[in-house]
Amino acid sequence: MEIPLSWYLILAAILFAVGVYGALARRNAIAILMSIELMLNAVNINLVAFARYVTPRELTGQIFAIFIMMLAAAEAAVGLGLVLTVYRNLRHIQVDEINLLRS
Amino acid sequence: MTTTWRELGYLTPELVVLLGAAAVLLLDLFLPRGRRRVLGGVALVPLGVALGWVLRALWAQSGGPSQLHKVFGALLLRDPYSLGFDVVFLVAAILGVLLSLRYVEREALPAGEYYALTLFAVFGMMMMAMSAELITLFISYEILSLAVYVLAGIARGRAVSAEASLKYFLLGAFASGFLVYGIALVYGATGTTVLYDPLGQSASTISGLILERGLFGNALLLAGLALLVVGIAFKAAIVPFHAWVPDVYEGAPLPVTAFMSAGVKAAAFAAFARLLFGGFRNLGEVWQPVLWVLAVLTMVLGNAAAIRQQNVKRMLAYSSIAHAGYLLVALAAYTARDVAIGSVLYYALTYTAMGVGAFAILLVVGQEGEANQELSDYRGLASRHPWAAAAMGLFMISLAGFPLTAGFLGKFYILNAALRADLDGLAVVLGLASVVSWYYYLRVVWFMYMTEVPKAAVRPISRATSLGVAVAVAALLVIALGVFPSTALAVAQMAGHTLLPLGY
Repeated sequence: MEIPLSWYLILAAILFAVGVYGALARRNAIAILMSIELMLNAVNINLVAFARYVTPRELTGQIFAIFIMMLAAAEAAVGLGLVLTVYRNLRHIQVDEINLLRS
Repeated sequence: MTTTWRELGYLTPELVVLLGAAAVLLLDLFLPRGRRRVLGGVALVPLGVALGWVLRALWAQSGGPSQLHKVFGALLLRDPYSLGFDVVFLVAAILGVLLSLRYVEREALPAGEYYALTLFAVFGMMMMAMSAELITLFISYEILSLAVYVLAGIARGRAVSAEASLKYFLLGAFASGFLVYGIALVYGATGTTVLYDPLGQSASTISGLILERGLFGNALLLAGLALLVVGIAFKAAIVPFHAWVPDVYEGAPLPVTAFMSAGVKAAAFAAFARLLFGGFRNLGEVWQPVLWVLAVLTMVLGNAAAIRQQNVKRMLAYSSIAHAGYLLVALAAYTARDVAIGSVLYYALTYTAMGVGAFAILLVVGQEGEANQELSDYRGLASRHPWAAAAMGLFMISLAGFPLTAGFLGKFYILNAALRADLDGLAVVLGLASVVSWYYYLRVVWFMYMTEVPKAAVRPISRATSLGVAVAVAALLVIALGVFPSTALAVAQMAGHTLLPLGY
């Protein structure tokens, strides 16, 4: 029996929701970054599933998934750099306690 | 092969900016630390060359038939629309670099990285205005975003700058997750990522397939569109996705804030208009009410928050949210598409001139470490520094939308589009919102001209030539666009027509 497309979509939706929840609920900047990576990976599952089921003769979905992986790497590099800068200034990375602005 | 070379030729301004960024990075390696100030001048060269190329291309088409080229299949479109927005980005970047020359030196920022990132951000913006395909759109969005995240935090030693960039990054990466999820769903619903074909040669585009397969109520497609709107609304600083704006604009170095508020917003709207009017034009009935609500929220909340600010930088940040709301009004006027798109472009250009101009005056008045940005620091400015006060007054009344300034005509054309599209309610809200904005803009003028300070409290202002040039250019643009709008307006209208050349 072939697994229907909807299963992949549901799995991706759940993963995405977990990522969104993590990004909103976690306070540690690196944990938020990890949650965002989870969101991007949920999208990758979607893309590969769509590529297989919707456009089996084209590579658009797979190529896009590779682009997103590359982008996630770039985002992680920049993000960790910024986290490091904040840590050097404030000695912690708890986002709910970073509030020099918002006067 | 020959076609490829010709296609690369259409990308000349983009490639020039990209090579300029690489050149700045390389030069940074070889220059001794004390000589790195020249990098700002080096960065101006590719920006100027690109601007010249773009203006020449626009000039060649004005009056004659407009040209439209597909580049790399249909991934990118070189049309007057993208050229017009390139002008906005390049003007914003040139003014931004002029504002930075002195600032980067004074605050000891890393010059090579600073100017290279500015150029990378401009490259991302230009690609965003050209992209007619969702993957390309997303990659350009990220090129722009990553560069700007780092620019916001480039004053590493200042905790507020680091905080601003981390907040911007976390929220931005979160929003791009939504954007890319939306793209995946739209791809799943239609099987393509190409938005539309302006030459009408291919039907397998999103806009074509929506019609052909009757996907008007397709849940996957509508969910995808909603997520796309969220992702772009975040970049464009639209309420309720604006939470990052005041903090980031206040924490980021001033020249970066100036560049961001004009350039990033224009890029987001360039992509937004192409997305909605190009790819999803057949779903207009669906997205128009959403934009209507977003526009009202953005105008009302942006203005309401700006009124309460005592810090001028923060006030400008909130007011830039309000200006995003005015631009949304134009996007909502989709039944008057030809006028609406032109008014978005025209307003983006006027906002660039007056917004960056106002930030330039903040730099003139401001002191080291971003001091002197409270409203009270503008007390009696007119009697001490009449030119700075006059320029600030001009930018303020233009932002407020008084006649004979660029801001007035910009709002006028948006109102015109809204009324033609029978959006009377939205036009009324825009008018009322502008009246409210008079209060906080004119308050600055009142502080400068109607209040006095004792001699002892008089503070010096910055007299750097580069700042003066930037202020003068911005002021001239504000006056020129306000008094002689016909050329810029003709270009904007041509751009509006070519976005939808087949009479849609």
